[in-house]
Amino acid sequence: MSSPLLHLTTKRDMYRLASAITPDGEWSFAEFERRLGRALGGVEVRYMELTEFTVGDLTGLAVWSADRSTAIIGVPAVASSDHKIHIAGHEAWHLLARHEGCGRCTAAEVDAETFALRLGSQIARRKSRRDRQSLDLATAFGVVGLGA
Amino acid sequence: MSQFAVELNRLCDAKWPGGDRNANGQMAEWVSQQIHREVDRQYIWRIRKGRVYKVDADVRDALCTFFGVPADHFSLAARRTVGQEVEAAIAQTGLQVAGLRADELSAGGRSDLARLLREIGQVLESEKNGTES
Repeated sequence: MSSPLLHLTTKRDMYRLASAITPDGEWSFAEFERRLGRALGGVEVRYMELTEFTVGDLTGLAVWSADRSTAIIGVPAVASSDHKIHIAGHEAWHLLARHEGCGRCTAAEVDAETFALRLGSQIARRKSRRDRQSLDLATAFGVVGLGA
Repeated sequence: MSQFAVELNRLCDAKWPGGDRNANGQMAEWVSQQIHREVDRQYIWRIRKGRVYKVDADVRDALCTFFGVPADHFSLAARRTVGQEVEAAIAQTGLQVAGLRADELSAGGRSDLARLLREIGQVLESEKNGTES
C-alpha cells in the first residue's frame, strides 16, 4: 500500500505528524491507533501491551503483518502510562518513516526518540488548551473560586 | 536450559558420540588444573543441566581449551542460536520488524524479541480464529 509519507525528512514533518496522531481529547490508544492508521495511508494499527519483555534492553517494537495491512506496536505491559505513550510514539515513527529490520541505526533511533518527545509536547499542549477552555467556561458562568 | 548448557552438551556429544560415564569427571579435572581451584564433576553436571545461571569466565575458557575451540566459542554459538531463534519466529509469524526501541540487543534481548513476535502472532491468530488468547 502506498503512503504519501514515504519520504519523511524534515522537522516540519515531525511536528505535523505528531499533531496528526495526537487525540484532541484525553489520551486514548484507540484514537491513537485510528489516527496513526490514517497517517500511514489507511492501514490498520494495533497497539498491544505485551508480557514477554524480560531482559530490559528491549523496551518496544513495531512490526508489520505479512501482507503489510496491519501495523503492530508492542509496549511492555508493566510500563507506566506515560512511558507507554512515549514508547508508542517512538515506534510510531519507525512505522511512519518506513524503517525496516532489526538492525540498529543511530540516526533512526534519535529521530524516533525526537518524535516521541514531540508527541509528548503535543499531548501536553492540547491538555493545557483544554484546561484553559474549561477555565474560560467556568469563568463565564461564574464558577471559579466558589469552591475555594 | 541456557544457551551455554545447550552448546556444552553439543560439544560433549561430538566428542563422545556414544556417551562417556566419566565425561564430567574428565572436564572437571581439566578445568581444575587450568584455573588452579577445585571444580568437581557435580559442578560440570549442573552446568550441563542448565542449573548454573552464570558460568565463571575462567571455567568457560578452560572448557574451550578442553574441547579445542576458540575462547569466544560459547558467545558466538549463543549469538548464532538466538539469531536463528528470531529468524524462526519471523518465518513462523510472517511479521516484519519495522523498528525496535532498544540499546544493542543482548542474547537475552534477542530471545525476548523472538518471544514477543510469537506473542503478537498468537494474538493475531486467535483474533483471526475468533477466540480470545
